[in-house]
Amino acid sequence: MTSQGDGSAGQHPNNTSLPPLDVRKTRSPTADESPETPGSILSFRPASPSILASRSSTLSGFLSRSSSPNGRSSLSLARFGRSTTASPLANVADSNDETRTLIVRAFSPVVGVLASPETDELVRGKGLKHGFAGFIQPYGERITGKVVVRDSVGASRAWEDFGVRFLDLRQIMQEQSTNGAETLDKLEDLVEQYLDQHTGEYVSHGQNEMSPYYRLFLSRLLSSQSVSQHETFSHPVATVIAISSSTAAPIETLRNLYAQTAHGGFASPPYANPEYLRYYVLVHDDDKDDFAKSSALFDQMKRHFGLHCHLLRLRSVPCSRGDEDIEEMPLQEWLSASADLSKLQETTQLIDLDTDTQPPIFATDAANIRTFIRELVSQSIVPNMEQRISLWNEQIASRRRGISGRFMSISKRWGGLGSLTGSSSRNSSATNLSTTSSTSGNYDSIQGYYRWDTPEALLRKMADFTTMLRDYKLASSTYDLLRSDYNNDKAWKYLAGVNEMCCITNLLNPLLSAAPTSSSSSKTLPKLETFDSMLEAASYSYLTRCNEPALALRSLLLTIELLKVRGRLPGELASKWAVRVLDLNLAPQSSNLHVLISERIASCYAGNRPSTATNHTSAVVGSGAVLSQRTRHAALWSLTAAEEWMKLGRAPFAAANLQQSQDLYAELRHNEAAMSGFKEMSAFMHDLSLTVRMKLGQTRKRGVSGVSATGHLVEPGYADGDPLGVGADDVEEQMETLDSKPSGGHRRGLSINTAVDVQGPLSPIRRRSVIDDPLAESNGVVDDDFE
Amino acid sequence: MSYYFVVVSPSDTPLFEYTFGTSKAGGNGQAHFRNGESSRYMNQFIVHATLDVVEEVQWLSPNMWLKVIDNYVPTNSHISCFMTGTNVRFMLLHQPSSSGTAAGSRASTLSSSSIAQNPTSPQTEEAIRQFMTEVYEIWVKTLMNPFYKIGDEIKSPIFRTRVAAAGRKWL
Repeated sequence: MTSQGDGSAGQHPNNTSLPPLDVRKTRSPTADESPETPGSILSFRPASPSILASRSSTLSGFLSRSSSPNGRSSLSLARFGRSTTASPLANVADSNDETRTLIVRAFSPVVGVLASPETDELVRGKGLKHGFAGFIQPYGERITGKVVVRDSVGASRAWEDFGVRFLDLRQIMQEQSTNGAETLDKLEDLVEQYLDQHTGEYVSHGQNEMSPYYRLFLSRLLSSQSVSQHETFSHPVATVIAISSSTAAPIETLRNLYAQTAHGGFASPPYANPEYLRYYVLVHDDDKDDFAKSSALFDQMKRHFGLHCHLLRLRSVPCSRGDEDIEEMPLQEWLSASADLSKLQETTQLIDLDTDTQPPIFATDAANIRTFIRELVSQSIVPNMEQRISLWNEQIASRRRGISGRFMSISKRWGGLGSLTGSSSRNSSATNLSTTSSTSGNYDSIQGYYRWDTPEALLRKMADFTTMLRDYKLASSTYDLLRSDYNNDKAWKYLAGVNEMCCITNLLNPLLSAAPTSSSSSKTLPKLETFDSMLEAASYSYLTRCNEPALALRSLLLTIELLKVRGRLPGELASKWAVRVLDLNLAPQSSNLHVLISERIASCYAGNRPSTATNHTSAVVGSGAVLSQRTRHAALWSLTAAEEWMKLGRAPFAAANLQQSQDLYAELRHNEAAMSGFKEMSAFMHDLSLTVRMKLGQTRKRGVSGVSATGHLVEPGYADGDPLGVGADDVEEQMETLDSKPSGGHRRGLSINTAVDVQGPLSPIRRRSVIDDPLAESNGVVDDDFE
Repeated sequence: MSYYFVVVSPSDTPLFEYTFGTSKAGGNGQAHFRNGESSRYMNQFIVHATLDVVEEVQWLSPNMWLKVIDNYVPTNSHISCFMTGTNVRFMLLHQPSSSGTAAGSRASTLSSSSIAQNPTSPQTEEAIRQFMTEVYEIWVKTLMNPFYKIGDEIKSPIFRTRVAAAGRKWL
């Protein structure tokens, strides 16, 4: 009996040339994958990303529903808006880009700041208590204008969103690596606090987009990495040494501060490269001091320290809201978890006092700082990094890559072996000595690091530099080169890091991302098994050998995000690893992180569906069944997330996830039948939605969200499938697409379609009978409808 | 090892459900799912989710026996599937006993390849295949019953006892 549906669908695998009426006919989920469907019809597809994206409006509609029955009319409206203005492909790319941008920007250079006490004093006098470093921090994240970077082959690329991260040098050098578990605890605290602040309404997001809380969590996780030996992203690329015009003996102070960075209290640890750029800044106090004097001093500075100098003019009087020409200090986006926690505490106190959180700044000051940072980055930091990269690339990497380099490494390995066999006649301690010396040449296995000037460390530094400058091709090949070295030396943390970065840079490489379809990605990208094994190596080394759960989590989550948007097979790998994250217990049970990751798994599975037109190769087989959909998995994980949110007592979030889950289940072909058959399953769904709504009702009565939803709290039919809601929704959808058609046929014809489709999604059999005998049935329906 | 066996119709309705435990290695045939009470609905959810994979794998394999096609990590459940000619799916969810460490003394006497401990070993796979084949035969005989309407739930007590016997025999 059920093969009927398959049969009717199979007859029309390609419905492009059919007239509109027939398009309606194939609108069953069984045949919606026809690749060349015109754009207007895309809006029907259950799997079309435009609908996924517009699911965001479902959530908001769900939460703020006021008059429309269960808030679905707003959804259908949103569908039209999205499907007509933006193509579904663009939508996918948007959400993809957002994640990508986040990850790309996370790997931005760190610039240390070392200011003389007078400079900090000057800034504090302005009412900014974090000193000079805290003052320029937010401006470094967004550099005005484009920054041009030349890659290793000499091609320049301009980046709009280039940024650097200013950090107090004291903070960098003294806050040595915190324990990874501690970082995770802090992140959990942070997410908890943010969630508490936003209990009122759920900030909606679509299935393919990232939940804002997950995004927050990810960015905090990325910026919470402390200085570590195995990667150089948190080592300063340059240091700004600042004095002010009121500093007595300025040149001596500068020398003194330099000495502190070189071999004083803030010297680099032995694994961090101390040969970084120093940039000297003279902060001129516009209100108190004489500019002629400062400019003479600046000339002197230039003579002493060369070109890397800047004269920054700032006003020292505090700025108040009433003044003219002021602007708010921008919000700092990249904060470590602990910094954000302390900031949250400060601001909650401030909110109690009813003052504004972002202090005002004179517009001239802001403009001066922007110019200063722009000059610092585009004229000093970037050229310096480029030069280093080309130097190291020539001296170390290309020598290693060449044939002789291969021979070198082979002979090194065989040399070790040879000495082992040669010394077999001697006693065992001698052979032990020879083997250790041959494997761990530069690696200090007791302290666990390479000195900064060993080729391995320099190569890693070079690869990190290229990552920061976004030349991912060179970066990934360099990381790949390093993998075998670290493996031979049993430098586990280095090995994990290099595996992680190899995955990430390979996936970030824009040349490879040009074709996101599953068929071509296997050609351009390295094989998926490679990613699988690299991830395995990275997570195993981080977790088991180095006890660094935060780093393991970072490597897995980033790779998942990047794999997820690469099409079908990579998407499957992403889902597999996302489940693995939970299995590895990186996020403790019943924590907010756990739920956020569950949500992410759901979105991995949901994003896995062949939702774009490019994916049709895998889609149509046999009777028109769609291959490799993971709708049920996605729905299950959404439901899991809903249940977990409920356990944490966050009903709005649970409601949103439940809605998502129900939408996904409703997309299924045989949802009704399955739900009526699997009784415990539907009973559970029903119970959960009841509890969610009761809880929501309570919070609403308490007036937290301020949304009145009187009628819906007791509406029982809502839980399973919601037949009427879906039907009504579809009617509107049909009307819209029909209107957009040029033929403009009879109104009568239109109503046939709508009437047919009201019943359409509910029972394929009934629809089929309509199709078989269109005249008789349509007459009947039309009469019913109109009279 | 605990088992949840379900026959799913082409329209995703369960035609027959049966929950049982292993009878080998001292098992008493009772199911002990590690997620306890919630396993009643979770197993249904998991098996239902696996239909996603079935719909994909069925086109890739010429066999009716599809082997272990999916697993659900949080409860360590593995799902095997056997397809009949009319797209009726026999789904078997199997979950190794949770007492891997708690009853280690008893479990240590079992070899790692025993059915109860290792859900992906070839022995387990073979046992499940035998079970599926036997159930298939019983099922075909049930279909021949003139009073059974195809697509209806299977209510026959004889079918149930026979499936139970097959479960005891192989699993």
